Amino acid sequence: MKNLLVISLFLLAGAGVRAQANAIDSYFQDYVEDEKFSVIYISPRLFSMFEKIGGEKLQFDDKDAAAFLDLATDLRGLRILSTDVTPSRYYAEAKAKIDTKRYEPLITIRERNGGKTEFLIREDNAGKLEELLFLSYGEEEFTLMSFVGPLNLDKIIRLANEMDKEN
Amino acid sequence: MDAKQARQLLERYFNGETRLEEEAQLRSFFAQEKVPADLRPYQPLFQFFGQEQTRTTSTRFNQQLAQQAARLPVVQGRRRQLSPIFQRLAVAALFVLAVGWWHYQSPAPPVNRATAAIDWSKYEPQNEEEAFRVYQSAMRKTARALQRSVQMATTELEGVKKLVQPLQ
Repeated sequence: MKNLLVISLFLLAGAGVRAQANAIDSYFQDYVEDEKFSVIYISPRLFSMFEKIGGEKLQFDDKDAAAFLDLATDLRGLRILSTDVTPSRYYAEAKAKIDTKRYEPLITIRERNGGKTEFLIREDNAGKLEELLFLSYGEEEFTLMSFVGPLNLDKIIRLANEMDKEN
Repeated sequence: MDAKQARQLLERYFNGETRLEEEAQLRSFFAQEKVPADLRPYQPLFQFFGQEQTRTTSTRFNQQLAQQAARLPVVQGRRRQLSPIFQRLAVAALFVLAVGWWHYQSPAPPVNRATAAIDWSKYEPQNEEEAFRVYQSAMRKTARALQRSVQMATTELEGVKKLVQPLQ
Protein backbone atom coordinates (compact mmCIF):
# COMPACT_ATOMS: atom_id res chain seq x y z
CA MET A 1 0.00 0.00 0.00
CA LYS A 2 2.83 2.34 0.94
CA ASN A 3 4.67 1.50 -2.29
CA LEU A 4 1.62 2.43 -4.30
CA LEU A 5 1.39 5.77 -2.54
CA VAL A 6 5.08 6.53 -3.07
CA ILE A 7 4.91 5.64 -6.77
CA SER A 8 1.84 7.84 -7.20
CA LEU A 9 3.54 10.76 -5.50
CA PHE A 10 6.54 10.37 -7.81
CA LEU A 11 4.26 10.31 -10.84
CA LEU A 12 2.45 13.46 -9.72
CA ALA A 13 5.72 15.23 -8.92
CA GLY A 14 7.09 14.25 -12.33
CA ALA A 15 4.06 15.75 -14.03
CA GLY A 16 4.62 18.97 -12.11
CA VAL A 17 8.27 19.20 -13.10
CA ARG A 18 7.44 18.55 -16.73
CA ALA A 19 4.78 21.27 -16.68
CA GLN A 20 7.30 23.85 -15.53
CA ALA A 21 9.49 23.50 -18.62
CA ASN A 22 8.61 26.76 -20.38
CA ALA A 23 5.69 29.07 -21.01
CA ILE A 24 5.03 27.88 -24.55
CA ASP A 25 4.75 24.23 -23.53
CA SER A 26 2.60 25.27 -20.63
CA TYR A 27 0.20 27.70 -22.23
CA PHE A 28 0.63 27.87 -26.00
CA GLN A 29 0.57 24.36 -27.33
CA ASP A 30 -2.43 25.32 -29.47
CA TYR A 31 -0.44 28.07 -31.17
CA VAL A 32 2.42 25.69 -32.02
CA GLU A 33 -0.01 23.42 -33.83
CA ASP A 34 -1.83 26.34 -35.49
CA GLU A 35 -0.76 26.85 -39.11
CA LYS A 36 -1.24 30.61 -38.79
CA PHE A 37 1.87 30.68 -36.58
CA SER A 38 5.52 30.45 -37.59
CA VAL A 39 7.42 28.40 -35.03
CA ILE A 40 11.17 28.24 -34.44
CA TYR A 41 13.03 26.35 -31.76
CA ILE A 42 16.73 26.58 -30.96
CA SER A 43 17.78 23.71 -28.75
CA PRO A 44 20.51 23.66 -26.08
CA ARG A 45 22.54 21.51 -28.50
CA LEU A 46 22.49 24.30 -31.12
CA PHE A 47 23.40 26.94 -28.54
CA SER A 48 26.39 24.90 -27.43
CA MET A 49 27.49 24.56 -31.05
CA PHE A 50 27.66 28.32 -31.66
CA GLU A 51 30.73 28.58 -29.50
CA LYS A 52 32.41 25.51 -30.97
CA ILE A 53 31.86 26.62 -34.54
CA GLY A 54 33.13 30.12 -33.85
CA GLY A 55 32.70 33.43 -35.60
CA GLU A 56 34.35 32.53 -38.87
CA LYS A 57 31.86 29.91 -39.95
CA LEU A 58 28.91 31.83 -38.55
CA GLN A 59 29.92 34.69 -40.85
CA PHE A 60 29.67 37.58 -38.48
CA ASP A 61 32.15 40.34 -38.59
CA ASP A 62 30.58 42.94 -36.36
CA LYS A 63 32.11 43.69 -33.00
CA ASP A 64 29.02 42.81 -31.00
CA ALA A 65 29.11 39.21 -32.23
CA ALA A 66 31.18 38.23 -29.21
CA ALA A 67 28.50 39.68 -26.96
CA PHE A 68 25.87 37.59 -28.73
CA LEU A 69 27.97 34.47 -28.24
CA ASP A 70 28.48 35.33 -24.59
CA LEU A 71 24.73 35.63 -24.03
CA ALA A 72 24.13 32.37 -25.91
CA THR A 73 26.21 30.45 -23.38
CA ASP A 74 23.58 31.26 -20.73
CA LEU A 75 20.69 29.96 -22.82
CA ARG A 76 19.17 26.51 -22.67
CA GLY A 77 16.47 27.07 -25.28
CA LEU A 78 14.75 29.66 -27.41
CA ARG A 79 11.21 29.28 -28.73
CA ILE A 80 9.66 31.81 -31.08
CA LEU A 81 6.06 31.97 -32.21
CA SER A 82 4.79 34.67 -34.54
CA THR A 83 1.79 35.42 -36.69
CA ASP A 84 0.56 38.27 -38.82
CA VAL A 85 -3.09 37.28 -38.36
CA THR A 86 -5.06 39.44 -35.89
CA PRO A 87 -2.01 40.36 -33.76
CA SER A 88 -3.92 42.30 -31.11
CA ARG A 89 -6.38 39.46 -30.55
CA TYR A 90 -3.58 36.93 -30.04
CA TYR A 91 -1.75 39.29 -27.70
CA ALA A 92 -4.83 39.68 -25.50
CA GLU A 93 -5.48 35.95 -25.59
CA ALA A 94 -1.87 35.13 -24.69
CA LYS A 95 -1.94 37.56 -21.78
CA ALA A 96 -5.04 35.89 -20.43
CA LYS A 97 -3.45 32.45 -20.65
CA ILE A 98 -0.33 33.22 -18.65
CA ASP A 99 -0.40 32.43 -14.95
CA THR A 100 0.89 35.60 -13.34
CA LYS A 101 1.69 33.67 -10.15
CA ARG A 102 4.46 31.91 -12.07
CA TYR A 103 5.35 34.71 -14.48
CA GLU A 104 5.96 38.12 -13.03
CA PRO A 105 5.44 41.06 -15.36
CA LEU A 106 8.74 42.94 -15.61
CA ILE A 107 8.24 45.68 -18.18
CA THR A 108 5.30 46.82 -20.28
CA ILE A 109 5.77 49.27 -23.11
CA ARG A 110 2.80 50.84 -24.82
CA GLU A 111 3.78 51.80 -28.34
CA ARG A 112 2.61 55.03 -29.97
CA ASN A 113 1.01 53.14 -32.87
CA GLY A 114 -1.19 51.21 -30.47
CA GLY A 115 0.95 48.11 -30.07
CA LYS A 116 2.41 46.74 -26.87
CA THR A 117 5.55 44.97 -25.74
CA GLU A 118 5.79 43.12 -22.48
CA PHE A 119 8.50 41.19 -20.65
CA LEU A 120 7.65 38.61 -18.03
CA ILE A 121 10.10 36.61 -15.96
CA ARG A 122 10.02 33.30 -14.14
CA GLU A 123 12.49 32.83 -11.31
CA ASP A 124 13.53 29.77 -9.33
CA ASN A 125 13.13 29.52 -5.56
CA ALA A 126 16.47 31.27 -5.07
CA GLY A 127 15.34 34.25 -7.16
CA LYS A 128 17.51 33.34 -10.13
CA LEU A 129 16.09 34.07 -13.58
CA GLU A 130 14.93 30.89 -15.29
CA GLU A 131 12.93 32.23 -18.21
CA LEU A 132 12.39 35.53 -19.97
CA LEU A 133 9.15 35.76 -21.88
CA PHE A 134 8.73 38.43 -24.54
CA LEU A 135 5.32 39.30 -25.92
CA SER A 136 4.81 41.95 -28.51
CA TYR A 137 2.22 43.04 -31.03
CA GLY A 138 1.90 45.83 -33.51
CA GLU A 139 -0.10 46.47 -36.63
CA GLU A 140 1.71 43.75 -38.54
CA GLU A 141 2.70 40.96 -36.19
CA PHE A 142 2.29 39.23 -32.87
CA THR A 143 5.49 37.71 -31.48
CA LEU A 144 6.03 35.48 -28.51
CA MET A 145 9.55 34.51 -27.48
CA SER A 146 10.64 32.35 -24.59
CA PHE A 147 14.31 32.46 -23.57
CA VAL A 148 15.05 29.68 -21.10
CA GLY A 149 18.19 29.94 -19.01
CA PRO A 150 19.87 32.21 -16.45
CA LEU A 151 19.99 35.29 -18.68
CA ASN A 152 21.64 38.44 -17.45
CA LEU A 153 19.42 41.42 -18.34
CA ASP A 154 22.25 43.90 -17.81
CA LYS A 155 24.29 42.10 -20.44
CA ILE A 156 21.39 42.37 -22.87
CA ILE A 157 21.06 46.11 -22.33
CA ARG A 158 24.83 46.52 -22.73
CA LEU A 159 24.54 44.66 -26.02
CA ALA A 160 21.91 47.15 -27.18
CA ASN A 161 24.21 50.02 -26.21
CA GLU A 162 27.05 48.42 -28.18
CA MET A 163 24.79 48.11 -31.21
CA ASP A 164 23.98 51.83 -30.93
CA LYS A 165 27.67 52.73 -30.85
CA GLU A 166 28.31 50.76 -34.02
CA ASN A 167 25.48 52.45 -35.83
CA MET B 1 -70.93 19.28 9.20
CA ASP B 2 -73.78 20.83 7.22
CA ALA B 3 -74.69 20.27 3.58
CA LYS B 4 -72.91 23.43 2.43
CA GLN B 5 -69.61 22.34 3.97
CA ALA B 6 -70.16 18.84 2.58
CA ARG B 7 -70.51 20.27 -0.95
CA GLN B 8 -67.29 22.27 -0.58
CA LEU B 9 -65.41 19.28 0.79
CA LEU B 10 -66.82 17.07 -1.95
CA GLU B 11 -65.51 19.43 -4.62
CA ARG B 12 -62.09 19.42 -2.99
CA TYR B 13 -62.25 15.64 -2.63
CA PHE B 14 -62.74 15.15 -6.37
CA ASN B 15 -59.88 17.58 -7.01
CA GLY B 16 -57.65 15.43 -4.81
CA GLU B 17 -57.12 18.24 -2.28
CA THR B 18 -58.71 16.81 0.89
CA ARG B 19 -56.82 15.61 3.96
CA LEU B 20 -57.52 12.24 5.64
CA GLU B 21 -59.53 13.88 8.43
CA GLU B 22 -61.71 15.70 5.90
CA GLU B 23 -62.36 12.45 4.06
CA ALA B 24 -63.40 10.89 7.39
CA GLN B 25 -65.81 13.81 7.89
CA LEU B 26 -67.30 13.14 4.44
CA ARG B 27 -67.75 9.45 5.24
CA SER B 28 -69.45 10.35 8.51
CA PHE B 29 -71.73 12.91 6.71
CA PHE B 30 -72.83 10.37 4.12
CA ALA B 31 -73.35 7.70 6.80
CA GLN B 32 -76.44 9.58 8.09
CA GLU B 33 -79.79 8.74 6.61
CA LYS B 34 -80.98 12.24 5.65
CA VAL B 35 -78.81 13.65 2.90
CA PRO B 36 -79.89 16.49 0.52
CA ALA B 37 -81.16 15.24 -2.80
CA ASP B 38 -78.30 16.70 -4.88
CA LEU B 39 -75.76 14.84 -2.73
CA ARG B 40 -77.54 11.53 -2.65
CA PRO B 41 -75.76 10.09 -5.73
CA TYR B 42 -72.53 10.19 -3.74
CA GLN B 43 -73.95 8.52 -0.65
CA PRO B 44 -73.42 4.86 -1.73
CA LEU B 45 -69.80 5.59 -2.61
CA PHE B 46 -68.89 7.02 0.79
CA GLN B 47 -70.97 4.44 2.64
CA PHE B 48 -69.06 1.74 0.78
CA PHE B 49 -65.73 3.30 1.80
CA GLY B 50 -66.93 3.42 5.43
CA GLN B 51 -68.00 -0.20 5.43
CA GLU B 52 -64.77 -1.41 3.81
CA GLN B 53 -62.73 0.36 6.47
CA THR B 54 -64.37 -1.62 9.22
CA ARG B 55 -63.62 -5.02 7.66
CA THR B 56 -60.92 -7.16 9.29
CA THR B 57 -59.40 -10.57 8.61
CA SER B 58 -60.88 -13.64 10.32
CA THR B 59 -59.28 -15.21 13.40
CA ARG B 60 -58.61 -18.39 11.45
CA PHE B 61 -56.74 -16.52 8.72
CA ASN B 62 -54.61 -14.75 11.32
CA GLN B 63 -53.72 -18.05 12.99
CA GLN B 64 -52.70 -19.66 9.67
CA LEU B 65 -50.51 -16.69 8.81
CA ALA B 66 -48.78 -16.85 12.18
CA GLN B 67 -48.12 -20.60 11.77
CA GLN B 68 -46.58 -20.15 8.32
CA ALA B 69 -44.39 -17.34 9.55
CA ALA B 70 -43.13 -19.53 12.40
CA ARG B 71 -42.08 -22.24 9.93
CA LEU B 72 -39.81 -19.92 7.91
CA PRO B 73 -36.05 -20.28 8.64
CA VAL B 74 -34.49 -17.39 10.51
CA VAL B 75 -31.74 -15.79 8.39
CA GLN B 76 -29.19 -13.99 10.47
CA GLY B 77 -27.09 -11.15 8.99
CA ARG B 78 -23.50 -12.18 8.31
CA ARG B 79 -20.62 -9.74 7.86
CA ARG B 80 -18.39 -10.58 4.92
CA GLN B 81 -14.77 -9.61 4.83
CA LEU B 82 -12.75 -9.24 1.65
CA SER B 83 -9.46 -11.06 1.45
CA PRO B 84 -6.35 -8.82 1.84
CA ILE B 85 -5.52 -8.98 -1.88
CA PHE B 86 -9.02 -7.79 -2.79
CA GLN B 87 -8.73 -5.02 -0.22
CA ARG B 88 -5.52 -3.83 -1.89
CA LEU B 89 -7.06 -4.07 -5.33
CA ALA B 90 -10.05 -2.06 -4.13
CA VAL B 91 -7.77 0.65 -2.70
CA ALA B 92 -5.77 0.77 -5.95
CA ALA B 93 -8.95 0.99 -8.04
CA LEU B 94 -10.29 3.76 -5.81
CA PHE B 95 -7.03 5.65 -6.14
CA VAL B 96 -7.03 5.35 -9.93
CA LEU B 97 -10.64 6.54 -10.01
CA ALA B 98 -9.82 9.46 -7.72
CA VAL B 99 -6.85 10.54 -9.85
CA GLY B 100 -8.94 10.19 -13.01
CA TRP B 101 -11.73 12.21 -11.49
CA TRP B 102 -9.28 14.88 -10.33
CA HIS B 103 -7.80 15.17 -13.82
CA TYR B 104 -11.26 15.35 -15.33
CA GLN B 105 -12.52 17.97 -12.87
CA SER B 106 -9.47 20.20 -12.69
CA PRO B 107 -9.94 23.41 -14.63
CA ALA B 108 -7.72 23.69 -17.49
CA PRO B 109 -4.75 25.34 -16.29
CA PRO B 110 -3.08 25.15 -19.44
CA VAL B 111 -0.17 23.89 -17.37
CA ASN B 112 -1.74 20.45 -17.00
CA ARG B 113 -3.24 20.24 -20.42
CA ALA B 114 -0.11 21.01 -22.34
CA THR B 115 2.79 18.92 -21.02
CA ALA B 116 5.61 17.77 -23.24
CA ALA B 117 3.56 16.65 -26.21
CA ILE B 118 5.24 19.10 -28.57
CA ASP B 119 7.93 17.62 -30.77
CA TRP B 120 10.18 20.67 -30.84
CA SER B 121 12.78 19.03 -33.08
CA LYS B 122 10.41 19.65 -36.02
CA TYR B 123 10.90 23.39 -35.59
CA GLU B 124 14.69 23.53 -35.39
CA PRO B 125 16.53 25.49 -38.10
CA GLN B 126 18.31 23.47 -40.78
CA ASN B 127 21.84 24.31 -39.65
CA GLU B 128 23.82 26.22 -37.04
CA GLU B 129 24.30 29.29 -39.23
CA GLU B 130 20.58 29.72 -39.69
CA ALA B 131 19.99 29.05 -35.99
CA PHE B 132 22.52 31.74 -35.09
CA ARG B 133 20.88 34.26 -37.41
CA VAL B 134 17.48 33.56 -35.81
CA TYR B 135 18.93 33.82 -32.32
CA GLN B 136 20.76 37.05 -33.18
CA SER B 137 17.63 38.61 -34.61
CA ALA B 138 15.56 37.57 -31.55
CA MET B 139 18.16 38.82 -29.12
CA ARG B 140 18.54 42.10 -31.02
CA LYS B 141 14.79 42.69 -30.84
CA THR B 142 14.77 41.87 -27.13
CA ALA B 143 17.79 44.05 -26.41
CA ARG B 144 16.26 47.02 -28.25
CA ALA B 145 12.98 46.70 -26.33
CA LEU B 146 14.75 46.39 -22.98
CA GLN B 147 16.98 49.36 -23.75
CA ARG B 148 13.98 51.43 -24.82
CA SER B 149 12.12 50.57 -21.60
CA VAL B 150 15.12 51.66 -19.53
CA GLN B 151 15.38 54.92 -21.48
CA MET B 152 11.66 55.57 -21.01
CA ALA B 153 11.93 54.86 -17.27
CA THR B 154 14.91 57.24 -17.02
CA THR B 155 13.02 59.98 -18.87
CA GLU B 156 10.04 59.52 -16.55
CA LEU B 157 12.29 59.73 -13.49
CA GLU B 158 13.88 62.93 -14.76
CA GLY B 159 10.41 64.38 -15.27
CA VAL B 160 9.48 63.48 -11.69
CA LYS B 161 12.73 65.02 -10.42
CA LYS B 162 11.94 68.28 -12.22
CA LEU B 163 8.50 68.31 -10.61
CA VAL B 164 9.89 67.61 -7.15
CA GLN B 165 12.82 70.06 -7.24
CA PRO B 166 10.77 73.28 -6.99
CA LEU B 167 9.11 71.85 -3.87
CA GLN B 168 12.43 71.20 -2.13
